[in-house]
Amino acid sequence: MIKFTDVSYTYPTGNGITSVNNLNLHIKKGEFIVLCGKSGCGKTTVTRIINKLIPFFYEGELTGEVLINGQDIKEENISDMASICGSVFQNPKSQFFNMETDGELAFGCENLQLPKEEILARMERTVKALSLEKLMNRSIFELSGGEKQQIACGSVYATNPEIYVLDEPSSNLDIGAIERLRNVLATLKKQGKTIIISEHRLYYLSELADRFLYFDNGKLDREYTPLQLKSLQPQELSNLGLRAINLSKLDFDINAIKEGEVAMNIRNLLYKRKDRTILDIKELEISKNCILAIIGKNGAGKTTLAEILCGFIKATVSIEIDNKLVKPKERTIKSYMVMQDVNRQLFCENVLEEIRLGAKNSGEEYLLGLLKEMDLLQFKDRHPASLSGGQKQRVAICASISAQKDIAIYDEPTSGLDYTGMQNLCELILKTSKNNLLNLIITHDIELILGCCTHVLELKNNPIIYSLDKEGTALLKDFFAC
Amino acid sequence: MPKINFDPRAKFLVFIVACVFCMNVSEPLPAVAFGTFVWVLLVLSGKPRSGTIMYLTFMACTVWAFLIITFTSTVWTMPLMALFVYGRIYIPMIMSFVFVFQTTKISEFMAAFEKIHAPSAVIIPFAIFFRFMPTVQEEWKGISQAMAFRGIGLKFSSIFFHPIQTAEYILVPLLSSCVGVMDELVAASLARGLDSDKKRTCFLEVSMKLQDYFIMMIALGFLMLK
Repeated sequence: MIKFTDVSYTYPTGNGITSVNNLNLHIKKGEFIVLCGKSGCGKTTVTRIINKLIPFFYEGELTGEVLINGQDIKEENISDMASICGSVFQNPKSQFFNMETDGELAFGCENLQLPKEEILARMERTVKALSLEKLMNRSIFELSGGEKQQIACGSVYATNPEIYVLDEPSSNLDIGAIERLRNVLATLKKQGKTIIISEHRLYYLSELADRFLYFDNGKLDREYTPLQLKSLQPQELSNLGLRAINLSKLDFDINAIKEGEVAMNIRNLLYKRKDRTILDIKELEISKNCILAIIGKNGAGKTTLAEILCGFIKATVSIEIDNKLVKPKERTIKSYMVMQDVNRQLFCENVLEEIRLGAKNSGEEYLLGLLKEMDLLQFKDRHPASLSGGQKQRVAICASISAQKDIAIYDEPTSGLDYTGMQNLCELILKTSKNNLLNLIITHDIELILGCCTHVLELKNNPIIYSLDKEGTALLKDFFAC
Repeated sequence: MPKINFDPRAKFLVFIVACVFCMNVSEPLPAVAFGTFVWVLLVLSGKPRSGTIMYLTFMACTVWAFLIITFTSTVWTMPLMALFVYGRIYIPMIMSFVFVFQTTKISEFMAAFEKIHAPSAVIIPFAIFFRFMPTVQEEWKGISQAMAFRGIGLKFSSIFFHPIQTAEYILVPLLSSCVGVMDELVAASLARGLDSDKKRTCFLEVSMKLQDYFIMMIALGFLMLK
């Protein structure tokens, strides 16, 4: 079905580094292939070659031969490829052409020039097969990341391609949505579709995949069967830079901290959007210096809660910090959020200016020391936009420390991070947590929670907060179904 | 109230007429008539809230401009009058802009203009423009939040005393993240088969109905009036 012979590719902006190096690969019809490896290992590039964005959208140097269904990819046009190969991308924000869900489901079919009746029939089938009923007739911009990803899958499903290419589809999904994604993939596999998926999270694919291809520095380094991969010890996996394949094997033995003084007290929080109650919290106490993971299903109100705490959204609530009632505007001043899209929060010409921005009274020495501690000193004169994603995130965190904020909030900081990136982030959060009164982490990642959090807030009808002692980890295991 | 879905072509004509008409009309009464017309269209197509807010602002501007022109005309009231006249001229244009771009589905828009054989090279950029506006809006929301965290939030004093610095704080991240989003968006659309060489189909019925001819007649009537 798909055959790579001696394929190499270099991005035009890649500074001469080959993203895929001499790849030979044969994927048979109906196979389920997982591409794994560290960030920047070339797995996304392989997906882009299969859906022909390389060489039709991303220029650069492609050598070797790629045959799909016996056809050389350089011959056909990219739009002909869409009927054979459906793509789901990593970033749910940027893969929608339409502004409402119905149009988006139809989009691929419309491009294939299917008649109207056929499109409607396919839409209906798709809605049923992927249980999208609740999401129909909505504006794309009011959906959560996970909901958007479901629509993206649906839109591809409606065009009924032979090959599915998915690039880190689970990045922004919660445990329930991942479960649904797994079910969709299982259905597709049963239908005999060929599936190629590039992913950091491996656990949900362990029962589905036929082969795991491990890439390292652009080279296809090793191949694993699911059994081989599962038999690897956690240490071996982390040496490869891979995330857990089996969640229940994770180290649940955490040094739980004792409850300290109460740092923040939230009372009678009620927030509604269009008559729908999003958040209803009677009382919540968060203790000092704790690292609190906020978990819950997509759409449970995690980001909304964070925005209320930061004073961006008005809600009926009384929030006390250190036993003093704090108004929304003051909360904005006291808090800092490391956003999912860090591009939005870097404003200056170089890294040093960036961390000086919120810290008018700090001396040069302190700032340089801070940069050194955060492993950013060699970048101090670089433009923040020229850094990699992980480095940008570090700059953003650094800026929050230099501004001496009380509340640090991380909004899904691990989406798109590989094992090493996540490990580094855990250390960073642990290291910096003492500087803040409160650390809140919105996350779907159990590995991150086990790596650095001390408490968990689970948002649901009756939100509960627990520290990660024996009982707490049991609840956590329950939530993540492992 | 049930929503009326006007044809994108009729909406577009209203928009063009709005641009020509509002720039040329100097009397308050025809302006009010046209503003009312667009307001009714907005309410009918499911934008009663934002439509009415804009309409009331427009009416206030028109009335104030009229009062100032009639009763006082000193150097001191000139800037104020200019402001109100600008409001009277531009708000109906903005309203009709909202009418086109916020009440139309992209799929519908593309199908309607393919029907009258507009070239794809024109339609696709327009469709992308449709999609671009809410993106900017979304990014803007995120960036203004990020600015507030950094203590450089938008305040009157910062705009007044450090206009260039403030513009830079807004524009640098706004451009970099919008460019990023649009780049990925184009890649995603291409991979899903959007192509300028092919005619697309549409999952919605797109055709001109009586109501569309009716509003087009009214719009053209305003042009005649001028």
